[in-house]
Amino acid sequence: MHRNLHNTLFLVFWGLALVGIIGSIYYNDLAAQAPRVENRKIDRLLIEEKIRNGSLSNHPARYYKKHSDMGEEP
Amino acid sequence: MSPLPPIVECRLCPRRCKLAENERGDCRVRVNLDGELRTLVYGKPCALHIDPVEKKPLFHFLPGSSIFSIATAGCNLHCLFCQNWNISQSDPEETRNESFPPEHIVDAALKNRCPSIAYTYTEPVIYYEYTYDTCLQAHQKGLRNVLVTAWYIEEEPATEMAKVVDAANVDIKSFDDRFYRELCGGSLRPVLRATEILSKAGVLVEITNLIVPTKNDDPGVICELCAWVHDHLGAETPIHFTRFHPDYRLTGIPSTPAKTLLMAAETAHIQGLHHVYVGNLPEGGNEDTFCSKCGKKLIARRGFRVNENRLVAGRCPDCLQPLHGIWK
Repeated sequence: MHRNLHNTLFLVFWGLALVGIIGSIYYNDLAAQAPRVENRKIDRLLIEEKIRNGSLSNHPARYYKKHSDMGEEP
Repeated sequence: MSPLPPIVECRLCPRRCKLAENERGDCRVRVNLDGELRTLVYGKPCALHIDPVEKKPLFHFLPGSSIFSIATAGCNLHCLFCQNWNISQSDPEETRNESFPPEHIVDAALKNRCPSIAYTYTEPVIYYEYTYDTCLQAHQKGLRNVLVTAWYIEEEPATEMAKVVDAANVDIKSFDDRFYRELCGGSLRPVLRATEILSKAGVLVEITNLIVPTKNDDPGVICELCAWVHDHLGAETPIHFTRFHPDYRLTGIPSTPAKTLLMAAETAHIQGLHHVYVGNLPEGGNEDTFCSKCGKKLIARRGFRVNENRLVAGRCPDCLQPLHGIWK
């Protein structure tokens, strides 16, 4: 009885672990395929120049929150 | 030592980009400058045109009228098959931008006798503040506002925008979330939620579904989309099935066969949708509008041209059934 329970728990544990590992690989794979903007860093000098010459704006945006550098909301 | 400028989290779209100082969002146009979120494209369109409203496509809104159409660079989706990728997938510093604040857009629309303004070509969600302010000024001058959008947006800004918009063509790219993730870099559920917000706010919603062979042409998925439109937006909601052309990063797939588009149209009819259109076909598609009660032809179209409009005060002249839409 005790041994059967042990075997069942052993199988359930490793079964779930296997599903988790496969699922994680699958979703990471999908995330890697998903198109996105690679370089988020701006050239600040270029942007400021474009704002000065009028081809870009520097207008307040709506809908955002500030975080501290530790990632906490103020 | 002075503290670092704060990280900002954009709450405009479901991406919720977290931006450190001097970083831009996935849309390319919203940046963290000195700890504040700023938009680089307010009043800086890279495209300004006058189009027939049928080109949007919008078939139940002022048929035969011209619509003043604007766009800025950037987009919060990155569809591999984008047909305006040269501006939607460009940084705003790479495009040639005009200076056109909201009041100039409204003046230009009035001067060119356009009864409405379209926020289109790229994605009006990402130039939200510019769209919103222009919409307000347009309403003050008696003009109407139209969004042509993938509508990948959070609920709060969607609700606010719905108050100043009259009509929208929402591009639901597929009813399969995997399609959104793999081909567009987005997700389906927020689009559906935000589209319902528009509809419930009384905005005239038309749906577009661009069918890409082997990617989103599964009849079951198209059937699910049509059923959702019927159940959540209503049987009178117009739906447009449009043809894919190889473009951007999806050049190895041929254009959508006519039979696939016609299969989609038939599916939509079976699901109970009354106004189903097929566009972008060289031989002409199902572009005419019929009365949902007596079945008579009310508006005859060919391409972007209206050949005949039999509506009388927004009603069928034969059975007097009102036709869903904005007609004057």
